[in-house]
Amino acid sequence: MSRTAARRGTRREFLAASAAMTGGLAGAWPAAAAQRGGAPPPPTSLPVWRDLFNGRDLTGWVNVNTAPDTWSVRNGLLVCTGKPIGVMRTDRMYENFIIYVEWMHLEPGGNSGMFLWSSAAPRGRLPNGIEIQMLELDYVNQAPPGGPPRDIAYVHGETWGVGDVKAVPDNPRGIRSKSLENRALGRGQWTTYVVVAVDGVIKMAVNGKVVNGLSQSSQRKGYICMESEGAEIHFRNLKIMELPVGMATPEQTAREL
Amino acid sequence: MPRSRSSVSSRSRRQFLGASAAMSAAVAGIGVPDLFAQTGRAPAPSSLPGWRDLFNGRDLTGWVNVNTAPDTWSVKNGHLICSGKPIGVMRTDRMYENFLIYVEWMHMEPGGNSGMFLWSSAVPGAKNRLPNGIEIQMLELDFVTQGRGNRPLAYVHGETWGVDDVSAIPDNPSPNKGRSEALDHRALGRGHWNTYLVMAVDGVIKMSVNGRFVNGLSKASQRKGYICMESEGAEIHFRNIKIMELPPGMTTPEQTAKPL
Repeated sequence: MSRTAARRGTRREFLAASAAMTGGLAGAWPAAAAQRGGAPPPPTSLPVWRDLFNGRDLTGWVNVNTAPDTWSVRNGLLVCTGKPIGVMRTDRMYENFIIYVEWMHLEPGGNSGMFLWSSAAPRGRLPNGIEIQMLELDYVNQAPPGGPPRDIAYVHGETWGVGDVKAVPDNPRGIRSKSLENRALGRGQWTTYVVVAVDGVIKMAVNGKVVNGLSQSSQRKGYICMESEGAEIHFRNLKIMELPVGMATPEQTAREL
Repeated sequence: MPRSRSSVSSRSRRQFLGASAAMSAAVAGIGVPDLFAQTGRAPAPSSLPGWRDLFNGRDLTGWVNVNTAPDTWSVKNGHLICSGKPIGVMRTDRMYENFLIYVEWMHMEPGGNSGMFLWSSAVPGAKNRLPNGIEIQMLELDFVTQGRGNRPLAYVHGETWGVDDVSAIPDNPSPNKGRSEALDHRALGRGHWNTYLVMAVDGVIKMSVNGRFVNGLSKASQRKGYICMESEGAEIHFRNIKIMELPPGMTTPEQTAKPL
C-alpha cells in the first residue's frame, strides 16, 4: 500500500471510530450540533481511541533495523521474536497522547519496551526517546556473577530519557525514574500500561495505578518505537488516544524520517 | 426528586460500564473480549479508559449544589445554563483523582467570569464564597478592558493556579502572581463556544484551549477532590462536559480533599 493510501486509511478509521463513539456514548452529540443552529463547531472535538496495532497485520508500522520475521501477528497478538535487537516505528510522529498497551513476556528475564518521542534513528541498535521499560521479573536474578545485584526497580516499569534525550525523573534512580510500587507481573501473565505523554510530561500506570513519571523531556514530539531486545514478547490492545498539539519547538521535535 | 446516594452511584456505574463496552466494541473491531477468549487467561488488571458524561444534557444528575440558589443551574436545549447568581459552586457527587476533562463553554455577557475547580474540597470560603482547588479560568475577553485596574491579557485566555490553601508550580508564571498563563491566546469571546481539554494526573495539570496545549502547572498540593462548576456573576453556558477517568495514583491522605 502506498504511503498516502495508508494515511487515508488511517484517517477513515479515525473518523469511523469518532462517529461510532459519539453515536454510542451520550446520545447528546448530534442533538447538540442540531441545536446550535448553524453556529460553527468548536475548533476541537472529543479525542478518541485508535488502534496502533490492528490485530491483523503490521499496517502503520515501519521496520527500522529488525529482520523481516522479527515482528509477526498470531491470533490477534503482536509477537516479537526479540532477534535481532532493534525497533520498528510508527509511520508518523506523535506529540501529545495516551497509550494503552498490554504486554506479556515469555522468557525468564526477557527484555523489551517502547520508546516515545523517539527519533527512531538507531545509535548502536536502539534509538533515543523516552524509554518505557518492559522487563520480565527474573531479570533481577540474572546479574552477571561477581557483579552488583540488580535493583528490583528495573523490572517494575522504569522510564527515562535515552541517548541525547534528557528528562527529570519523578522518582530518581540515577537518571531513571522508578515505580513507587512493584506491580508488574512475570512471564505468562499480561501486564497493562497506560502512559500519558503530554507537553514533556510522562505519567505511567502499571496494572491500574499511576506509579511513575518524568517531566521536562528535552524531546517531546517523535515516533513511537516497539523494541526487540533479545527475548520473545507478546503485545495486544495497543491503542493510542491522540490529544491536541502543544508548544513543542523544532528543537524539541524529532527529525522527520 | 429525592434519590438515595446508593441508587445514584449504581446508576453512574452502569452508565460507565455501558459506555466502556460500547466504545471498546466500536473503536477497534478487535475486541478485548475476543482476545480474552483467545488466550484463555485472566484479563489484564486494568481496562481501556473511556469517556463518560459529567453532564447528561437533560438534568443535573450527578451534581450537588453547594452554595448557589435553586435556579442558578438549569438545563435548556441540552445546555447547562448558569445564571451567575449568586456567586458559588455546585460539585460532582464524588471525588476524582486522575482524569481528562473535556468541556465546551460560552459566555453571554461582556467580561463575564466563571470557571471550574479541580481537586477541590468544595467547601466555600467564608468571604469569597468559592472553594479551594485548581482553578481552570473561563473569562469573557472584555474582562481585561473593563477598567478594574491594569489587567494582563493573560487573564482571559485560560489561566490556571492553586486557589486558597492549594499550592502548585505554574508552568508559565503569569503577571498575576502565582498563576500560570497560556502561551498562546486562543479563547473566543461571548457568543462563541470554547473548548477546554484538561489533563489532571498526579498533581500535574495540562490545559488545551481550543485545540492546543498552552498552559499547565505541577506539584499541586491537593490532587484528589471534587470538580466544581463556578457561578461568578455572569450567565455562562456549558455543553459536552465529559470525563475520562484514568487509573488512581499514589495520592496521600494529605493530598486528598476531605470527603463530604
